[in-house]
Amino acid sequence: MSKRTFLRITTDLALLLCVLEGWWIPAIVIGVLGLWYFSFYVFDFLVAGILFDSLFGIVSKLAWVSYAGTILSLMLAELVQTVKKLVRK
Amino acid sequence: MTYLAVRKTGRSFSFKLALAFIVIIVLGTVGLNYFLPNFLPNLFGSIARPFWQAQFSIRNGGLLSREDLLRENLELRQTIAAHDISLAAVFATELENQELKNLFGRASTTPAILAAVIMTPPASLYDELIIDLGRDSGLKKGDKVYASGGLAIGEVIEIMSQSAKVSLYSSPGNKLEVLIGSNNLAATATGQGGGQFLAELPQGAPIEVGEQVVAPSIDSRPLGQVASVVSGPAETFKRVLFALPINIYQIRWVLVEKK
Repeated sequence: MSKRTFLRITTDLALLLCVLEGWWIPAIVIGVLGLWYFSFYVFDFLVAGILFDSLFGIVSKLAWVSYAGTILSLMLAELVQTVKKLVRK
Repeated sequence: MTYLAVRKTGRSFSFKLALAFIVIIVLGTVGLNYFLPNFLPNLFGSIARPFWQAQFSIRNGGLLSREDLLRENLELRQTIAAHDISLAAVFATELENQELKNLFGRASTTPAILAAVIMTPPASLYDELIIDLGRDSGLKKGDKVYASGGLAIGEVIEIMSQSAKVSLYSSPGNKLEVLIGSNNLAATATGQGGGQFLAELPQGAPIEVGEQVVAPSIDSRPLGQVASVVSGPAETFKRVLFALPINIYQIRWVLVEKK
């Protein structure tokens, strides 16, 4: 197993732990670092957002707020991707 | 001089493929939640529940040695015995209260069951508790949830097979009709999250810090105490901030009153 793969698995486990505990700020920090450092990390981050919403949100009366995790993960993924393109030109 | 054109189709294709996958995942999630509302919460809840229950067990002495547990048990028994003496007077008053309510036909015979809080709200966002009772225990949406001291704190909003979500009355955006102070000033309190509420009263309303706040639609017992009153000289309303008298992030046990 390469060092990069090991690091990615560790990052994913840290992200999973943060989501299970409901620590959304550390989850965002880990997610942004993962988006910056790894390729196609958007899928890991998106699944984390869906997991967070499934555990703590997705209540009908809250409407779109119930999907805050999913929406935030997509927005941050797009933001980091844009910054990466600007910085690495 | 002739140059070969750089082929970019590979990068473009993988980007479109990734985008397509993302759209499929998001639409699939939304569609699944629309047609099968409890599928994902049940699925991920069943994965997360063993971690939460293990954590709850550890926090409540699951890793202590037998001797430590016995010592703690003995200390707690001694503390309980000491408190029993002082609580005797309180019980007598409660009994008298119940008897008086019975006389006026207002006795409550609704059953209530004890539930462990396996997850408290994360810092802000949803202001919900997750308890270890679900459909298997006969819970229904709208069942009221009480913390220690008979304080009504919220209602069951979503039920899975072995767990349920409780929305606190102080959830952001929740509105309650309350009566504030000894003058029973009527106001609408808006949940601010974290057990906090905000109500507005006319500038001249006589209200002081420490006065009781009651929500008659929920319970006759006080919901909280006025923590601060904020007003400016040019404002027509004053903002009254009050909070539940308990720390919602440290609740471990609740009572669920079944309808």
